[in-house]
Amino acid sequence: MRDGIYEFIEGYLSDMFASVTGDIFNSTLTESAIGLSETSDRRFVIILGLAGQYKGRIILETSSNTSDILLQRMNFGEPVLTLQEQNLFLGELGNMVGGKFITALNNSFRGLELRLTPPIVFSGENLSVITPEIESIVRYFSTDCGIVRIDIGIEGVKPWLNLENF
Amino acid sequence: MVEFGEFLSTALMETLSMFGLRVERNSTIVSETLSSSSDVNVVLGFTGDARGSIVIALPKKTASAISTIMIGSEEVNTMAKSAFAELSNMIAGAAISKSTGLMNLTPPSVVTGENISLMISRVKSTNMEFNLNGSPLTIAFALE
Repeated sequence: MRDGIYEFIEGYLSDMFASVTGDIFNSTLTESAIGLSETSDRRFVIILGLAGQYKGRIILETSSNTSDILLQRMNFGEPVLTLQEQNLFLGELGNMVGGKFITALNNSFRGLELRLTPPIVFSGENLSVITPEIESIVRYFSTDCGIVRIDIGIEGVKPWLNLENF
Repeated sequence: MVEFGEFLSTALMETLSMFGLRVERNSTIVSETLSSSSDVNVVLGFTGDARGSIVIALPKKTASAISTIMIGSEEVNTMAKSAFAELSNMIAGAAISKSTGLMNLTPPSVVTGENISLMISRVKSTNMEFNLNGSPLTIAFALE
């Protein structure tokens, strides 16, 4: 077990995302130095809150094109046409990623007792999501569906914070 | 569910009155999903004895009116978004402290954009609509 949560998240993020979405993306995930396309494009954002001994949130973000391909994979090859259905599928993806993440965190740091809130799915143009007073770890993953952004922030969890007492 | 709505409604009115803002409650609508299409949305989740989400949805006009009072600028900039987050934290925190269950709030996230569509939950949600000096403001919540 690592000493701090921050280091744990940094080290675990890639494996966690790959293990949850490997079947859906059907390809090897690689971290990408390239971000998402222009912010004016339509985007989908999934937000999951974390509460327990610490508070935080997980944000997943994709472009509309990536989302279309991803949802078709999730829906056994059939396109997901309505916005409501798209939101439901993306919410489920958020639950899968978030569930895997907090299970690993709770198992590695006893006493955290983190719980997930229901996923919130947004779509829109020029989307901006701000969670004040939270430093977050941001990674871009390149998949054969497109690029996915993951942003994880936990209040008070910074690189220097040691949680040996957990 | 009805009780929690009343706690939220009271907390909203009390919190905004601290900034000299008066709001009137208009209507309450129960819908099948929790959704919003406003320009500015502050979302908070909670876990514990109950699990759910709260959304405070503001059209640009209302966001500018609150921003002018709180930070002295009608522009919905980063500082204004921070102020909305803090305001929402106060409202949700006050409502949760009035309820009997033990619940933990998540940090508020402020989502802005154009042509926004938001979906939180498939469970029934309560949307409470308010009027702030002629500008609309909605608080919606869903308990799972």
